[in-house]
Amino acid sequence: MPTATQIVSRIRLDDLKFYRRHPVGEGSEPDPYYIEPKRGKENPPSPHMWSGGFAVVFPASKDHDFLKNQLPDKALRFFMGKTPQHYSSITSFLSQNSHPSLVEGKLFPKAMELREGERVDMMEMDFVNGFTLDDYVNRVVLDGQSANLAGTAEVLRRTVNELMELGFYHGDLSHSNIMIGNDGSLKLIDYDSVFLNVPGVNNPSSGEAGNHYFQHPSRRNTRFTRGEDVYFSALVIYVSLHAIAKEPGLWKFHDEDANLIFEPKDLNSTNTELWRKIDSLSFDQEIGACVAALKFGIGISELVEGDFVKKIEDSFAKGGSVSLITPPILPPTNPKESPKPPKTEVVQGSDWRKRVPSTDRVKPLSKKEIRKGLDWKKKGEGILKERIEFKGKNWREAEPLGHDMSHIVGILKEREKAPDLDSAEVPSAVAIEPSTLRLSRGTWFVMDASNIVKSVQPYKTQTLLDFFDYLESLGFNREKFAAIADANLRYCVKPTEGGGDKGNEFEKLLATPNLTQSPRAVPADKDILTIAYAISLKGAPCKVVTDDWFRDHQREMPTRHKYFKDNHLQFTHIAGVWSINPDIIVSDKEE
Amino acid sequence: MSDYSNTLSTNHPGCIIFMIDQSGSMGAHWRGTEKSCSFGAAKAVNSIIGELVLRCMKGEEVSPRVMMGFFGYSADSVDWCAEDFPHDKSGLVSIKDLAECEDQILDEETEVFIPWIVADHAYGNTPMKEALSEIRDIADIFAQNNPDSFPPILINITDGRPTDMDESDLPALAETLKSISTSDGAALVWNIHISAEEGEAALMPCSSDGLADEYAQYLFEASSELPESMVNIGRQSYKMEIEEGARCFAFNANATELTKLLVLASSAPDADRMQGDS
Repeated sequence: MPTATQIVSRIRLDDLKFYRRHPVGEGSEPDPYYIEPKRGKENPPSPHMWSGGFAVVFPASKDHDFLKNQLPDKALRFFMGKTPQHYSSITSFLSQNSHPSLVEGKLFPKAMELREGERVDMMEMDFVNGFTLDDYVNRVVLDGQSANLAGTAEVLRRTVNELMELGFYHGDLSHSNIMIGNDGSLKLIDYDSVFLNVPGVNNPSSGEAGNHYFQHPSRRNTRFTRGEDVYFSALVIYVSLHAIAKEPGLWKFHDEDANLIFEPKDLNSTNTELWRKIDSLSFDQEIGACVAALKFGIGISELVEGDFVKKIEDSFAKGGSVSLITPPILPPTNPKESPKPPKTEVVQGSDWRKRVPSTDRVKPLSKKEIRKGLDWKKKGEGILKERIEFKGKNWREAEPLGHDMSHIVGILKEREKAPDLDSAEVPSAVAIEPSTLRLSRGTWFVMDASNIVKSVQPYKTQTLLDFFDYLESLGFNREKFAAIADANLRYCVKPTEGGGDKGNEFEKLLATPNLTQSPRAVPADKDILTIAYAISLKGAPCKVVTDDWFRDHQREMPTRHKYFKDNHLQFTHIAGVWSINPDIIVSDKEE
Repeated sequence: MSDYSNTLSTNHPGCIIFMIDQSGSMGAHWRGTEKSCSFGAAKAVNSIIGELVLRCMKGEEVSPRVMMGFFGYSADSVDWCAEDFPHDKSGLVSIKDLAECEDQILDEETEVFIPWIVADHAYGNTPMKEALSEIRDIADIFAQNNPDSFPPILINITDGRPTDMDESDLPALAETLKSISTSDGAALVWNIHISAEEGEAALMPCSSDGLADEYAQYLFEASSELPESMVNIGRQSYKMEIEEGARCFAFNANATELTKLLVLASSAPDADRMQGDS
């Protein structure tokens, strides 16, 4: 069995290109597939990939090389284990029977050759742009939209029933083999365990036993997929979705990468904590009958003998009368709580690194929106890579989410390594007129905390707080104030050092996202330049407040310095000595 | 159910601890290769790390599904031998951290990239007893903290005999490791003996009959029986000939055999968790 390392190394050695071999002989196709690169610093670059026990999958395209930030349109699946012998039947089934939940694919036997001459089969499939079911549920739950999952459950139910009707038995339904596309559609992927109930097809008699977080304990790899197995796993997912829809708190039973909420022990016995919680929920009659059917299945030791099918026929397979059959609603793009803080990473290097990564695929934006949003990257070789949390549909209005500025920490970490972003073009500069300054309400203020504090004697944290209050009183958003302090500022404000603080005001402020401290022996200037520029690359307006001109860094970081120069607000000019400058006007439009 | 079937997941990660003999004799040239035994052992272990990293890939992310430990024993001490990747409080390091490794070699012979994480050393004595004792607590704490995980996999790679104990005490000492367990089974103790010189290899035998000497028998006894779920993986996925009752043990293995054994040893059952075509 080939290893994932062998397959990935082959693709890396070919510079993320894959030339498909002819199944016989030495020839290969002249036109390669381009594999989507992964972020990171490996040289040669590594592919974006998913991996499991039996296959590795790469997003790819034949039409473009990802240099310009395009999206994949194909998924190449390389089989590490034995390719199920009935795959050609499956692919011909797929091309003859269309169902919106199925993804077409072509099998290319022996398409890759490894060093020792070993050949690997490859399946080319259409790329599904969306979420795996677990990621989707996670987002929906975090968004407080879990009630929508009842609709998703019904779409799954309809899909499974329709596919059974067609004779397509997906033998490995799971959180990761069901995807919710960005258009809201439900797709099934990974057809290794599919049983085709179609005349003339030789289905295997044994194979993979499916994911045991979703399968009945009696399923063994000696028993290839049976209808009962499909219904059992579908019920596990169906009941999970309805239960979470009623009680989002059940998501605590989710084990990342492994399940939705049921664990093998919950499929062995209904006397578990999870089941007690589910039993306390009240479902309408039809869903209740499905819950009962699942419990019945769990109660019997052998799924394919006995009355399980009858229970299904009387509940899940009946379907139809539930009025919730609507496409699942996409989660709003503004989660209340982001599961992960935005990450920011600055990378530059030799040619390959100039590939701009695709935007984060888990964001439910259309291709068009994504392309539009990334215009600036097309201008140059923008290399600031980051996870952007979008607010609002128009990318131009996109803003970093909420109050969390932990991405700044990422920039600080990268500071040492990061060379300047010379090649990136800067969004057009805003000329600063000294008399009237019209700034957008969403403007970020990156502040030179040390410079501001030291403008007033004695040095005290309150100076900074007063300035925050001032800006806030003008209508700006405090969540967008990012003050960066030199490491020694905290000592300058202490009364013992002649400072004006009374207690631990500085520490208190430091504990908020509004103040960040540069590491010892590093001037905050560089961080200020970097952070302001990073924010601007997100498309958000940003001003830098300081009396300093940072000329020391002009040579070293010309692009960042140019951005600074164009967006510099002189602290003493706008704040004076705490006389409110009437010339600043808050506007929804920037001029 | 204690049948070695639990899938590795973020909440129920696996645990693989390597004990690597880095005594002076490991510096000897390894037959069939251009390098020393110590280099070969490091390369085999690093290859496994690289493979596990890829197996845990989920798009841009690496799922923290495996905790790993690397202990080299040489002279009179047992040392963490992945210098750039310090262990956490539990004495282990997550696969997610190991995925950050930028140092890699291209193995020209097989044309694969191998992250270089475990260093290659060869110096002094063979304090095997101390190594086994050292990892005992770490594995024990892991099992207590992860009662429903696949049990810890403890892999000892050596070319020689312990210098800090009577070799006949090995089976008893190994018992203390095998007594560590999770709900999915007892810890699996692997002993893989490699040899610089020519000699017939015994790979995963099911009895100690016909082994080269007494020491080999002690190592055999100190090794766990290979659980059925892993026998199946070996037979089906890696086309290995494995008899019923096979032990997690090899004697006189060469470089290729070591790698194959480590691949099997580290392939804890993995439900088909393909992210498929996204």
